Amino acid sequence: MTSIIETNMLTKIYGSHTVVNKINLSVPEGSIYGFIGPNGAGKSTTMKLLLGLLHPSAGSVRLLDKDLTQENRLSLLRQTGSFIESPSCYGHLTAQENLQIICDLKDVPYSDIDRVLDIVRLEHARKQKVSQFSLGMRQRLGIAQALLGSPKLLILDEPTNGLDPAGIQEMRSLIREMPQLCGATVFISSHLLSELEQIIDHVGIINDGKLLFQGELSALQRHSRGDYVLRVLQPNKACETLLTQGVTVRADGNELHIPPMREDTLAALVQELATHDAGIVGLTQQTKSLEDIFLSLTNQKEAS
Amino acid sequence: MRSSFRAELRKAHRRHDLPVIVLIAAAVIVMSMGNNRNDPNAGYSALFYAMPIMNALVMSTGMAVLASRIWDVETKGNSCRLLFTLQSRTSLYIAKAVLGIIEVAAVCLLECAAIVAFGALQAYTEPLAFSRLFWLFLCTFVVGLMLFFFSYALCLYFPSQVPAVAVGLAGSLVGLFSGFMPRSFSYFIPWGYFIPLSAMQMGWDQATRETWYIPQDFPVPLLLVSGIFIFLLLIAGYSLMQKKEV
Repeated sequence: MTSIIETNMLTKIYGSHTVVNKINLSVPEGSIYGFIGPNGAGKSTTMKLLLGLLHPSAGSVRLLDKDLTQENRLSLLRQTGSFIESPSCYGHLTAQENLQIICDLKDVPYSDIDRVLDIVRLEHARKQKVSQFSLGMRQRLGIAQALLGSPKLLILDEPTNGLDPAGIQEMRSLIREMPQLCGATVFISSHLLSELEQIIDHVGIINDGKLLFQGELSALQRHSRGDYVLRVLQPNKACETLLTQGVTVRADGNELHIPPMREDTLAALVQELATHDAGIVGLTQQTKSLEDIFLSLTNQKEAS
Repeated sequence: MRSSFRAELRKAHRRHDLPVIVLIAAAVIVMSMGNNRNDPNAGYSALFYAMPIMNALVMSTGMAVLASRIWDVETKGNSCRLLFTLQSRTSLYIAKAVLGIIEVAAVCLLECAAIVAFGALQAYTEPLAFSRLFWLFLCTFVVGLMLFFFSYALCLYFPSQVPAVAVGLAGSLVGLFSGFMPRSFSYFIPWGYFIPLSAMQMGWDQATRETWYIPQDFPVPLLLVSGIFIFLLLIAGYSLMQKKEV
């Protein structure tokens, strides 16, 4: 699968503070890529670098199979739709007039306005002044602006920020439909993994300017295997046996927590415990939520 | 570039720039004509004398208001981030500058048209010197542009439009004040350049309380200095636009 966004050691330094630290992003074409990180992790800065709104201190950006340069920036970005942090619209103008401005600048026919208003379900409000819009409607208008001209790539920075649960749900379903409706690859950021895990198929996790994980969501889900919990009648005997086998163990009454391991190793360990009369009465595996994985990834990095 | 300007015109829709232009010109016209002694033999001369003084009072604030309105839509709309992905910073800067030039020209044209119309209505017997009318237009336009670009640069420099309007208001007062100071002092107050650029002086006899108007040579060097200021302010504004953080 070809990458629609690729960065090579992308770095942004402000004074002595490295905001984006040697990031190598690879966003497959046709995917919905979630770019997740806590507030201040460097998501927005990375997105601004991708859009050429900031100059990288080091490294490079490749968009739509071309190196992003000052010369080709605007022509590449005309094939891209973006929504950075908050909607950009003129309150004294109607939704239609706002979109006409973008059409003028993108050199897109006004007929495309009907299509994008239909996609974001704002046809009924086309002649309404944007100053009378709710935040959710403004966010959707921002998405409509990004969709004008059928871009191959949508870069959306926290498009659900400030929305109520219904608005978040609506925005989510809208974004989920993008690849089918418009054939666009979506690169979307959020500080909440739970907010995106239902719609994304690829994920990158950033913290403190560093990319901690990148890959398919299913690969991240494989990390969700948590500790095994053994319920035993003789915890002391079981602990001794486990320690002699070189297994780290955390005891909590009759429950012993042991780290994830291969299944054949686990089977041999259970056999050993049975031999030493540990009195095994139960064995379960805990599973981590994606949110826990995200937290453990970001916390590990902070600790190191 | 054409699409950038078309976009600027769209943004101006329902922003009510035209009433503001008319209001600025009307303020100058009403105050100048209210001051007119209604002597049909020197009607135009009186207006050529009064208008630069009223321009010094009104235009600084007026130009700050025009410039801040043109930029304010981007601040309120939070739109720079989006625009900079669709158009070059240069094209945005130039498109707004061109719109500003047109608006300043409209104010000046309205003022000059009002002189002609008022003269016809009042049946002035003094012949209208078109060269002086053109000079008034040129000076008002050039100094107006200088003040517009100064305010435009301030709007780009500060995150809010308040400093530009505040400086404009202060400029109005300082500009008017400079008109009552020695000529050499007024050269240091660009907000009041309308007055030293005026090609009409007034004489006054304290005993008879009689006034008369004395045509002057056109002070071309000062107009050129104003042109240089415009050029420098254009460069400063352009540079601020290029460095504008988003």
